[in-house]
Amino acid sequence: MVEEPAKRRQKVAAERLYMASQYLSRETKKDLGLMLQVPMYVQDPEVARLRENLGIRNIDLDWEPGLADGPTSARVAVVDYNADTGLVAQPARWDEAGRRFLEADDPASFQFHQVNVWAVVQNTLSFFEDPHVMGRPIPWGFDGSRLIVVPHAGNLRNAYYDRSSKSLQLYYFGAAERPVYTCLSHDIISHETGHAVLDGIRPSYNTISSSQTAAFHEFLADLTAILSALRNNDVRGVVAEASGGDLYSDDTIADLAEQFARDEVVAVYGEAQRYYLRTAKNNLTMKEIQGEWEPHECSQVLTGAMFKILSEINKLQLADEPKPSPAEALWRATSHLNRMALRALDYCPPVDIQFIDYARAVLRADELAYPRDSKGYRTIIAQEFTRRGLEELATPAAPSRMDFLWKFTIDQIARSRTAAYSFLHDNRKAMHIPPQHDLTVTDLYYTDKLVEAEKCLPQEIVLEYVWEEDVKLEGPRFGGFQGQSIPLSCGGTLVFDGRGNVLHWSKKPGIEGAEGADKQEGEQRRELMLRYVEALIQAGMLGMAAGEGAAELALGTAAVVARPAQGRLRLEATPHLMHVGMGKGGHDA
Amino acid sequence: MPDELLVRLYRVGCGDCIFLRVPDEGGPRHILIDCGNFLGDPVGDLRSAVSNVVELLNDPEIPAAQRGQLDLLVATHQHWDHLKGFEGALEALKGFAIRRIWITIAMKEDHAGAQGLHALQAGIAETVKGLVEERGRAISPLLYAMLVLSLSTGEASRALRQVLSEHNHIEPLYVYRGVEGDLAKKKRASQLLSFGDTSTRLSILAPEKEIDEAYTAPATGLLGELEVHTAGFLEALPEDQRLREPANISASAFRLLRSQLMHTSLLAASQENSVVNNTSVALLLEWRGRRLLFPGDAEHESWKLMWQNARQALSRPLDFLKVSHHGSQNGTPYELGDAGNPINEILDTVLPRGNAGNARAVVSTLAGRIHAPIHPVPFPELMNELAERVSNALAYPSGSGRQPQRTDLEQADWIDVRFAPA
Repeated sequence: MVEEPAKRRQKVAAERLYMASQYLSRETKKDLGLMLQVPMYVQDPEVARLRENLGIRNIDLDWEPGLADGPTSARVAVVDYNADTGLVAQPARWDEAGRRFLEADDPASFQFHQVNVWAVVQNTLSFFEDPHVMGRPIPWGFDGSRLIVVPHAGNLRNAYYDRSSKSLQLYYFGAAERPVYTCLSHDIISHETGHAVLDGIRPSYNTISSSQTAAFHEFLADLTAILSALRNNDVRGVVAEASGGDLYSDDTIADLAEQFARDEVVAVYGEAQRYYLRTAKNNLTMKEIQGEWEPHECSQVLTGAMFKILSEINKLQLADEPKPSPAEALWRATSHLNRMALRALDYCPPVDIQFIDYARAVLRADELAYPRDSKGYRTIIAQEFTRRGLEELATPAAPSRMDFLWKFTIDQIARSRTAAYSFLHDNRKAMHIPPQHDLTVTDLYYTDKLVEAEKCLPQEIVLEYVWEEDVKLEGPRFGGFQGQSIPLSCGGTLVFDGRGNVLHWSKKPGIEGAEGADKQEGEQRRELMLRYVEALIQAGMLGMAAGEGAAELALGTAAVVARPAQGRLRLEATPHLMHVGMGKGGHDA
Repeated sequence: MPDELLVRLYRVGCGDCIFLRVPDEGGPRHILIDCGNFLGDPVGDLRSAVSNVVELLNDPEIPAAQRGQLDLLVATHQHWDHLKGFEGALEALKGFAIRRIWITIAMKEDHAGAQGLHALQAGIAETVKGLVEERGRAISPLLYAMLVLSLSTGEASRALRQVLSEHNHIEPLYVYRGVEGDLAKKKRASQLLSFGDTSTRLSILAPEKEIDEAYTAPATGLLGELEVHTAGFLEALPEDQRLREPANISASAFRLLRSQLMHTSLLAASQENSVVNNTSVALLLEWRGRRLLFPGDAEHESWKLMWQNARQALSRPLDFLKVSHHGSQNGTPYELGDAGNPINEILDTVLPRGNAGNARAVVSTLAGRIHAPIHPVPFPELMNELAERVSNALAYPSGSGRQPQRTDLEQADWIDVRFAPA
């Protein structure tokens, strides 16, 4: 079929615009037709029930070539398969000419559900990739580039990110005539997408090392739910208006998964005014979670701290001169928080993250974006972390550029993992890397970040490296796992500027070949890991993995599985550890 | 031979293998309750345990006429962690004479009151087989152990029903609460175990004879509920919108996805596991003022029925409790953190907190074998709660607070509990 000349010209123009789109602002892209209008729930359906203007809204998403039925985009494919019925529901059809998904107008239709879940995942991913946030394409944590999203996976009160099947699985539950679809909950979808994003950024956090590493995944997933919801103008407007400047006086954003929690809360406590699975409005401290292994519980310390920091920054913004509107102040506060809270991920170690590592990374991210700190935000941040029991906030000293041997230039290193390895090997002494351990360069990338008014930050080069040491599980406290060996993951993240200066160094030393303070830290990490593994075994959270091609989600798979690899057991979190969270949730009568 | 009752709980992994020596007029009587362990546990541990039983039965102090004889062998229920040794340690079990074999009535193939259970087991086996074969789903080792192997304990069952019975020229007795009365009518009382000392008595508190009526409802109910949900879902999905395969991912990616998704019918399968636990034979041994309870793997449903139907037997504190179901949360009649729950009355009666000095309990278990999300075994908080009610609680070096003695944490091949007459 020959295309009409007008249509062809239109197509060529669209492709040219698309190629220029990275230089265009959101508004310009909208004017030029490079954005789609897609309907989705901007908050939880329970919130929509209470607040009419936070129901289904058309949101703007980037147009891209190759959009297709499903919806299917470059990074996300919706597959509406139901495990209980064995059927696939007809996908929403893509109309390229009208630039919209068809059959998605009826909120009760499965096609709307498909479009809704796609839009939330797509929106969350683009939020992370935005130059104002991470400023780089985010990989997924599995082999392949497209995340499969299953909106009606079956009848179950849960939702999962499952690396092994490259999918997000959203289940439904409740009365057969009025089921609760988790694929309609912005909080739940963005929470699970947060897991998927973090798994792409730091895949080794899936390896079990301590309760805080598992909890960090939950924290980041909840933070993603909160910050990605705040990206929406309507949501921000309502929150700014309703809170009157004090974010603690409104629950819209702080409360998570309201509808999901509702039935359970009603069953336990009766009808209430407010329901939530977790809330960011908490004052939990490190002391209070001592001995707690449940990751959703532990995660609340950091979620609470970041919400408090957002609230304090919002107050400072409101006091600014000339006085901004509440919505404008909240926009500035959330933008600032995005820049430090999420960018901090680039400054986190590649393995075994502890809350204190994150706290340091947040401060460093803020310092690099705003060296002057004219409003004193860093004092607020440091005070809040300290109040929560995260006290040693100074980042340990990094080696200087002059301490290194440079066989390759920093540009050459940034372009090749092998060159990066060679650099690390040449500088083992300066980097405290024991000579006998083989190293893996687990990630290497440039960042292109912006601050306010589209100003560029200097480009950064991030280099992550990892090695593993053996630790034996000795004694009856390890139950059926006694006598097995597990790895102690060690390594570091090095952040350079374009001249090879070290901007940040976050390291996790081992024991073998380590000296002094490193050895001490390595031994502490080993003890912490052993205690955690023991707690998992004694709490009945650790089981053997199924064999090749096995279902991680099969009932009977433990929250943490031990997988035989290279003569030892690798302990990995399964979706049962990183689900949206069970439990009764909370309420206000 | 000392005038004391001996309970020996072998360390066999996650499973039960319990030997009893009960002093009686004319010499001691000997009982072996179960002989099994979990999928990953070595069968060699069971053989070693049975070898030790052989030694105990041939103790030169036992009167010659009774030496080398086991008075009673009990198979509490059809799970691998209670039966495996009947297949794996069969040769060793042939090393002594067995006078009686008791098996739970739930395992009697032609028992009319268990046909629902047998149909449920067959249906679930079929579902699991279907998921494995048609959808390429691999089953987790735990589920595999719980389902496939518990449903196919055929060899162990055959060893019990046929090999050991024929070897000893006896008929196995399928037992339930009330079997004693029914047998007396049929003049087969010799299949029961009676004692010369009239103060000694072995009573069967569970299971109920009508297995289906008593225990299978939760699992069949769950399957029914799932059917309703599936029907509701299909109603919301018009027929012309139902496809077999998606067009936007490859066939191999779809195969992987299908194999990985949670299948709700497996939830029903895990319920079947509880049903079988509830069909456990529960035995109360009363000996010269001492009261010892061996409930197999009884879960809450079975405890509630025992409380209802055999209240008299449970109305006073025990001297010994073999903690049910390897210390799982659902094996002890107590709801942690729910002070007002009526089921707590059972534990508060049989192991009252105020009576800790007089009672003992042992958990035959191995941490790390059965885990969340099914139910962690043993359950740490339950261990701490039981520790408050017994005199043999310890704080093991591994932490987790005080617990009753546990076979996995003791540095010995067995735990002995001895009782003098009260």
